[in-house]
Amino acid sequence: MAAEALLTTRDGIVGAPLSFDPDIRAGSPNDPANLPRLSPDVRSSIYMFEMGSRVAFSETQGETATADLWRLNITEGQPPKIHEKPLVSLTAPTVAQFKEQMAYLSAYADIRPDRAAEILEQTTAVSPFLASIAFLDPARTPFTLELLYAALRFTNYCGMRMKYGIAAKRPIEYSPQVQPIILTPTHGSLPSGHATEAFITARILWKLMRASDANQYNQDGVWGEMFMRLASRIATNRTIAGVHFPVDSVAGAILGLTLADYVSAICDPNVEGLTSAEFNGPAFPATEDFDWHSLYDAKDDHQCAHAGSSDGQWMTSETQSTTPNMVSPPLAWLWKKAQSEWQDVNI
Amino acid sequence: MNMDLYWKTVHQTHKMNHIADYRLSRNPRQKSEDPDTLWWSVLVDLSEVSIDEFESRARSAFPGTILIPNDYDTQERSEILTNQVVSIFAQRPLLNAINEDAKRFSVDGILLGSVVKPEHLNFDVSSSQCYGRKIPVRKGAVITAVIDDGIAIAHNLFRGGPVSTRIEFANILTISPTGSGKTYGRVFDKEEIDALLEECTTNGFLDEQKFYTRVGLLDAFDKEFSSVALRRSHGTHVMALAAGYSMVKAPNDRPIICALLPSKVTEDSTGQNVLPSLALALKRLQKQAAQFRLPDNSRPPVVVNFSYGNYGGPHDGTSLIDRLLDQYFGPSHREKYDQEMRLVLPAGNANLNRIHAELNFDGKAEKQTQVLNFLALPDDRTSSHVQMWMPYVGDAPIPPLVSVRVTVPSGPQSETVLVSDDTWQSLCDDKGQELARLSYGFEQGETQRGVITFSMNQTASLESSILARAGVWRIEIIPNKIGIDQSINAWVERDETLPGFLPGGRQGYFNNADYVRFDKFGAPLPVDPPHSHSDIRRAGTLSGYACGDAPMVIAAYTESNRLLSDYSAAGPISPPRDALEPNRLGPDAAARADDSPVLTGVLSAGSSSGSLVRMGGTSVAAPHVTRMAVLAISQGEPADRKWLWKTAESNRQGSQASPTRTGGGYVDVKIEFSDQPR
Repeated sequence: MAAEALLTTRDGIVGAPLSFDPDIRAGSPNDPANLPRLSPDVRSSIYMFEMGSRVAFSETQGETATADLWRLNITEGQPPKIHEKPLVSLTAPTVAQFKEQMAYLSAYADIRPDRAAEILEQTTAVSPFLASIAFLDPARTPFTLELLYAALRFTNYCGMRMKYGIAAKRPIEYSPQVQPIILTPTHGSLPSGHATEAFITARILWKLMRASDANQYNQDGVWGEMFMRLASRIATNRTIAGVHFPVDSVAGAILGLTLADYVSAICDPNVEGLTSAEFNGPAFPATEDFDWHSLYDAKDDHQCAHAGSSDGQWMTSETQSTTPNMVSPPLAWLWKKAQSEWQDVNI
Repeated sequence: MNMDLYWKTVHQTHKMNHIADYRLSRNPRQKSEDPDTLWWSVLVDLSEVSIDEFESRARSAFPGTILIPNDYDTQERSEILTNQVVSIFAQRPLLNAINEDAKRFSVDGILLGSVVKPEHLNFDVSSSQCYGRKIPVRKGAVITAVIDDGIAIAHNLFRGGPVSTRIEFANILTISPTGSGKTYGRVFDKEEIDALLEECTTNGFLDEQKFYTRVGLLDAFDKEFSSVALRRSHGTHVMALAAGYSMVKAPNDRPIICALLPSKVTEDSTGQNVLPSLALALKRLQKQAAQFRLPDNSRPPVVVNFSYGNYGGPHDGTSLIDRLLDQYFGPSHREKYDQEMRLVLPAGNANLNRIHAELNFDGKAEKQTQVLNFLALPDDRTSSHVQMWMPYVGDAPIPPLVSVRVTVPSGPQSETVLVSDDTWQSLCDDKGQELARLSYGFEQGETQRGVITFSMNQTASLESSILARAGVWRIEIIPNKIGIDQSINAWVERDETLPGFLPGGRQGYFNNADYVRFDKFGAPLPVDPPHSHSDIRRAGTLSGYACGDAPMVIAAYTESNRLLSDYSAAGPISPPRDALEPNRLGPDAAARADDSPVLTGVLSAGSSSGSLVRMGGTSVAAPHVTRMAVLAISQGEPADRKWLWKTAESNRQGSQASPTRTGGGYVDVKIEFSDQPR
């Protein structure tokens, strides 16, 4: 209808051809000033490329599989180079460890009636849970949501490749008695995608709040602590549902926390350092449950240097320096926009 | 299920307690373990024998089959009392011997609790000899003691500050005692709880899952899941009503001591009984309470809340639990321990459950034989027991008052079992395996009454086991020498498990056609209709724990209509032997348990700090009175049964309910958890 109307309208008013030479400039390449004029879905593709093109993946097979995610250093005029150390390295636990962790699946099933509503909601949506802590709303914080969705898409991109590289079997394959209350996703068990997603979004939101000039976000670590409690609950709910081992959450939380730091480093020109982390699955005591406190200190937004005993560290992390040209201009634009949504409005 | 069943007459050796014998004769865990090696928690009523002597007799007869908890100190172990109810752990060979030849061990009564994992018992600790350090408290201090399951001890309503608990002692009987110095369970004192609170708090938030994992209440790896892992937990709700205060207004003269009983730890298909753990908890709490000292060096009063109940028992104040409670709350306690102790119990929620029948025989033809249709539910994974208590008629042997026979649903009829009989009827399958039993026994001790017990196996099991049929089991009671002024009271023993919890019992009930359930508008009838001829009675459903002289027993009312809640159980009960009047008509008072008929339950603490949840029943009415009694006793009131009745009586407000359901009347207790979101 609209096309027909436009057609007849043009016919009615177009008139005879003009001899008109428009005085027009070329578009501005690579210019973030274009971004506000792009639709969000177009922007999201650009963010995805910016994030995704800065990482690479490799896999090695030792006693168990190791999936390494590498960051690429960008030098103007040259092809990207792989950073000398992996950004995240995840080594799978052994089958024997997963077997031992089955005890948790059996026990956690007891509290399914209590968590079923959360579990079902969280199969598709994590953001409403974040929005119950942070004041998120499409009208109020559109760019924060855009940033979070970009991070989630990036997480999925990296996480799925790592899962594929590790190919850890799901609890449902270890016992006929798990009987999950949701469909088991077809991708691998470790790292837990929900843990990765919950921890990356929780930490990015916390970073935005920490950069805010609103007093309440800076007066204590309580917002960050609450985000982590939420992320941890979302991760554990997947074990209760019967689709993940606790150790999957451990690996997922390490990946999510580390990627959050990485995303901020490629978005925020003020960032000087970022964390790289290594999860050594075979050293993880299979009798242990997931405890995020062993990975991260919310108050200082700092990942712990190591976890596990001195003779059996299963997680180590270190701070890497940022490199010149690390920041992606489109992502920097997005980060700045998102950050401004958390500034205080004062009289 | 179409196998041939037949009844067999068994010439019995004497059994003191038929339910215990029935349970011991089965393999409770349906697994390949040798039933002789399982450890049971047990209550024994020792008569004129010291614990030491009893233990020595048990040890010499059956070495390695008994464990006396070290809560009994050396002095208590050497005392010889007329009667004392003692909590022990024992294995089947010894228990069978006690049940068959009680005199040899000087035992007057026995009650089986539940199977206990051996790793939950510490065999290498010795008896303590003295009380612990003295704990000074302010003038006017009153201790609240709560015995329950699933108490979230770290809840903010039990804290005086972020890392400072008001709980002086938390006795957790559900966890391994290794390294604790206790035979069973562990004790956490305030210092230890505070240290754990500190350790598990970051950025002002207590990581409660971590706290309970440290305490041992949550250990998912070992499948230890207290209900504190759930949003709603019975003990937390109850204890907050009894002693919860906002952290910012936390009183410093209301210390709490508590005990967490194992409520769902066993998968015992024969049923379970928490009383041996209660006995141990009371022993421990009494000793801990005795450590407190007022400025004048006297001991502060204690009000104990125990929001548990059952259905069975003689209902005359003489049962093993009545005797146990009397040890702590009866007149002798004050003399012995120099400390005031009060007990608050719920009336029970069985009013509409059809678990009680009163059988009268008036000599007319139609009253010659009475019939109880006992409906055994399908998918009941635990045994069911029906007790038919004879009236007290003097010392044993008692005359053959009645005889009883049972007919299997669509199956054979048993021979009759006569009161005073020395045979029992055993229902067997085609392989000769017993799946139900009808037997007579005589309850010794204070009770001195005969009881005919019908016991049957579970009706469902996921594993191969001997199942009884679900359906109507016809129980016929045929009068013999019973007088027209005498009655027999029958109760179905409690056999229900909350959905999702183990061991999966479903409550059977009497299903006689003449029982009228609803009024003409379709509403449930909360009292037996006048002119009803049904033997199935709402009257007399009072909890079997709540029949003694000492406890304050609390019914439930609904706030919006000021009516007694329909489920709230009722008296009357029977007089004890040689007495004309019973200990009580029913409950002593009613307290709020429901906000309205549609908004059932009341709000109190959920398992996690900062949360409130709704829970109802007489279980939540009782702690209202506990809170009130604590306040009253601190103001110099006696806070005993008489005081409660009088307080309630002044608040009857034209209540039409009978004293057998409400006692004196209603008590209003305002509870505000003011820093909680409402």
